[in-house]
Amino acid sequence: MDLHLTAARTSAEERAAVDELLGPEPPDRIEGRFSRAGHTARDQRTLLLPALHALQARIGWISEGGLNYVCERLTVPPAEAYGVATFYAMFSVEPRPATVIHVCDDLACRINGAEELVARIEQRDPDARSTWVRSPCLGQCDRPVAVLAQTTAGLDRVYVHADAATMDAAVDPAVAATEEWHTSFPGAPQAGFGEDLQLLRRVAIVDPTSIDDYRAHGGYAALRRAMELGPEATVQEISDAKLLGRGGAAFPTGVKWKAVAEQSVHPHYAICNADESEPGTFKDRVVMESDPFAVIEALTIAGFATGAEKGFLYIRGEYPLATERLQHAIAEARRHGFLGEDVMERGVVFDIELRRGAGAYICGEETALFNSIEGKRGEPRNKPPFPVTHGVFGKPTAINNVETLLNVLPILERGAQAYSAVGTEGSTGSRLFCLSGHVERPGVYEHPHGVTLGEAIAAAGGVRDGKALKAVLLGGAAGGFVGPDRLDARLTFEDAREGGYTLGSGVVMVLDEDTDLVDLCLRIARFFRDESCGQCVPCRVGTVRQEEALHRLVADRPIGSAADELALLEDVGQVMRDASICGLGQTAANAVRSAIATFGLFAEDAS
Amino acid sequence: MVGLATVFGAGGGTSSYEEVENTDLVLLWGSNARAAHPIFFHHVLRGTERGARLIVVDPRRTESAAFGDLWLGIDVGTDIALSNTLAREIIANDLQDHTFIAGATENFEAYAESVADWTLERGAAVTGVPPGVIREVAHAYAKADRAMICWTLGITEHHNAVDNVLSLINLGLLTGHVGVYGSGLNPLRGQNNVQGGGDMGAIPNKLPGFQDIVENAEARARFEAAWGRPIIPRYGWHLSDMFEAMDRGELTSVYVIGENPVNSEADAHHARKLLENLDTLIVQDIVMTNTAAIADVVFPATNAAFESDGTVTNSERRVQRVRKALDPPGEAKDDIWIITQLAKRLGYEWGELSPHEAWEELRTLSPMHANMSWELIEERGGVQWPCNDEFPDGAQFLHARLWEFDDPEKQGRKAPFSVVLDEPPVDELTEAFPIRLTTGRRLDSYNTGVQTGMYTSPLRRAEAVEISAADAQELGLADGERVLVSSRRGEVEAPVRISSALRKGLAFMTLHFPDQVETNILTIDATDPRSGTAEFKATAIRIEKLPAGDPAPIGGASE
Repeated sequence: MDLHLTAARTSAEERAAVDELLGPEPPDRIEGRFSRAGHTARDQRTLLLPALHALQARIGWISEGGLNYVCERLTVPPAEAYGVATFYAMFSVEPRPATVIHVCDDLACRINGAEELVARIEQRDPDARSTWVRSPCLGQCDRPVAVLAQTTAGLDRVYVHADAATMDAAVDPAVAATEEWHTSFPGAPQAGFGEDLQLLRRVAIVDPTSIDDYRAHGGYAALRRAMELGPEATVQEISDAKLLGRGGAAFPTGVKWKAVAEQSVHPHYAICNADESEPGTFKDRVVMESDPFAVIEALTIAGFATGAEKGFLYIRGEYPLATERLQHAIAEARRHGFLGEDVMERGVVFDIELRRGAGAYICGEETALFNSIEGKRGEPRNKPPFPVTHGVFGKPTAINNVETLLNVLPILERGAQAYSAVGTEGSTGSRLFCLSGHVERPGVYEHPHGVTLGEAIAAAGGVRDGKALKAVLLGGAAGGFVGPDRLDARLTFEDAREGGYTLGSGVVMVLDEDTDLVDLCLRIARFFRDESCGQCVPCRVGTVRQEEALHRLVADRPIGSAADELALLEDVGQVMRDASICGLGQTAANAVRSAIATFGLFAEDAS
Repeated sequence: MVGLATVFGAGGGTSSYEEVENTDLVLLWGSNARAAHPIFFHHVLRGTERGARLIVVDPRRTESAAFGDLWLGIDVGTDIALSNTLAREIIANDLQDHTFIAGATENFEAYAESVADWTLERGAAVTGVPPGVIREVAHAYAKADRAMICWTLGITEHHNAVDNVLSLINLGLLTGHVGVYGSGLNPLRGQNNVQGGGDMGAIPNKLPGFQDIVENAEARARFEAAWGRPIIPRYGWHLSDMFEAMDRGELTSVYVIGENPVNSEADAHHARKLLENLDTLIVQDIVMTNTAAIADVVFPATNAAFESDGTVTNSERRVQRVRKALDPPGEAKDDIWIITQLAKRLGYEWGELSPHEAWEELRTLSPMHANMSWELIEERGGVQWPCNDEFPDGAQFLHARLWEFDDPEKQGRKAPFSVVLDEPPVDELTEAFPIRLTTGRRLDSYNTGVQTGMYTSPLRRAEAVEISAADAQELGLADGERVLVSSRRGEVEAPVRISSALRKGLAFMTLHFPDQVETNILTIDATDPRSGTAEFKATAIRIEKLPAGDPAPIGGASE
């Protein structure tokens, strides 16, 4: 690769950080007699994102010299590496203080005082050691307001129920080193109670750091069953259970696995999509933090069933605790022979590599996630070809969301028939819901498919402080607002399809009578404008136009009339829906549109 | 061309670009194709993208080497040592292609004996490359289902250029990597039409179509009949011969078409003196080169790329049409017009010869072009020679005939192995001249800069002598400091640039910017008598730090 590197030099610290990941630089290259590059080096492109993480974590930003060294080691052109580094919100290519506080001002935190916190922070004295930025949803909606402290002092940390005092702690290295931020409330109020829990049954019961405890609570029984059945029968079992993907597309998991298993091209890959970034969503985090071995076991089964020897677990960068727990779980599983060259001593080869995202909502889109793993900008690819034939590294790939994989365990343990007895005909099994907003007991709830919206809210204690319900944001920012008239809507795939609402990632954000829906619409519009990867025009331009039009309406300065602006919003939304290549653009107008349609926002101005 | 013509009878690369994309191994030897042959290198990259391994042999860790799966940083001028060592390792492990050797080659025994003592250890000692790495390359090349060797001036700009080429051809014969799809032996051409020049007879010993001017009486008769003049069966002089003849006073008039020998010849001082001493120097060029500046007569010519009609032939022997798009400026005239007018003044009326008429004449005289009409070239977007009754569609790759073991007539002459001996560069390294200077090209510049100097380039940097960080440290030099570079022939002043492509004791310069740094004042005109190419790649130099603010005389002679 002809790399035109700039003259910027790498510091010893940066070099050490990268070498820790890639190993020391081979000496032969220095002597000038022979060197190896080519395929071997280019194959390492996949390590670009981890290498950038290493630099960012060590010195707090990615310098030109540091980037040069990474480029040289991985034979990546600097322009491309720069393109990748600047793609992710958690990376900085400008010098930054050692600690950066990401303050969530997204939906759930917003209606629980995020702006008040921001106002307090703005009054703080400037501090050379730290700075702060606004952040999209940090996935801690059950305990707002959330902040993420990104730091060069070891692991990043998340603070919940944050106030001004939290900020002092977050930027103080001495506090950071000692505090027990790990011991967090599990975020699953049903935990330890309901006997019928399938997906949450171990949450807050099992020790998430102990593989022995996991096994004592039924762990690895499902993998054993899969091994006994063999790959084909395992896939059949999943198909018989009629498991549908929980990531949003509701694609039959059995069909996906079968398609991958049947591909003659090798290798195959199995991927767990843990890039949970949909505003209002935190269910995967709760499970990964509280029952990480379950995720590892389920992904191992996916690999076994689809003929993959390598799995990736791609987790969003804002989940430091889940990352730590999963990494520990992978190491423990490997140590105990549940991963590696000879899984469960049956000659099965499967191992998992954890990949950490760096702040990009779009990487939850499966093909963008592949690009991110490959060390490219996390931009979605055109489909077809589909991941089952051309996934990560262009090879057949089974990619499933965390919750989908979790369902594999009860299916194998109890059998497809028993599993599908729960739920409805079209939506088997149970489902995780993220209750947040103005609700009495926010958290992750597991309900059988078929529960109504009203029942789900009631299970969480109903609207907080005895207020009346104004609206529910269902399915996240990519979902839509529904009114109190839909409380009897059944939360199943088939009902949602017929009723014109979406379950999305299971977000049920309760909004009381005092909620400013226009403000939430603006935040959603800002979110999509910010998170659009910019690759395809309808979304890149459309998300900007949508936010602009909303601002003009709010400021009562429409171009033409308010009716014109509403028509423009409708048009822009339609173009994004029709012409964007991925789900981000296709859904970016949903929430705004539903709010306008259901609640008549700006109707007075337009009449 | 001489080496290939000697062994195979035709002086062209054997493979097509398409095959480079479908081969399993590319051995790029003495070529920084990434910078010097960017179009060809794109085909290489497509090949590597499809899984081909790329192995690069070059003293410098060039841009091309950085793409390679493996790079071998041999000492300058040890190519034959490496090739013989590879051959010995292949034979010692019985990996040679017995069938091909027996059926299609000659002289194997003598060759095998000549390489017998080139053990890995000896090869490593001479080339500087670890034995295990040489072994790896030998096995990779011999075992590859398809493999090709591609080379350029790193092989041919040596005093023993032809031996260098023959040593690479030996490897192809040894392993049967020639005459089949995806395998071959390919010299890369530095210009869009170097091959075409050779095809058309612009070499001193061949008539158009690589027909030997001495040995091929039948061809001579054909040309005599067409041209109405006797063709003297005598080899002409190649470039270096000409300069020697100038030196002896035998050559007194020179007609230079599209060359800039004042800057491009080795030992530039000497070359300029010889040209200045000629009775008559005629230069035909599109720009006022430094050679044109000292000429008696200058013919302003048209640009071949877009001011004239005709054909060019690329490295894969593909003849392509070129069409006139612009009228030339001022008094510039088409080359054919100039030559026919010159003939007219000399008393020969050739009429208004068009490029198409010239081509049609070629088809009647050069058997390998016989069926190649302009219509066919246009229709196919180019045709690879030979194109005649035997190969009506042209030939994608050459020498498939060698594999016709059972049909001696079809097979024709077998390909002989050549015994070649390792010879170090003429310009020896000594205490006084301890550093090995090698020369080369950069991506955005071309030869002496006549054509590229007119354009700006974001990549272009001023000429400098590139040295290793180790040498810079030893000489107490920082990037950009000016130094005096001396060889046994002269000295030039230049800034230094520290390059990670170089190891200790190796320096690099280009000849792109003669007006800034006249590199060829340093180089040696030791020449291979068979090809006429000088040893630009191996000069012994000394580098001295210049005191700040004391510019040395540029270009002063030192011996």
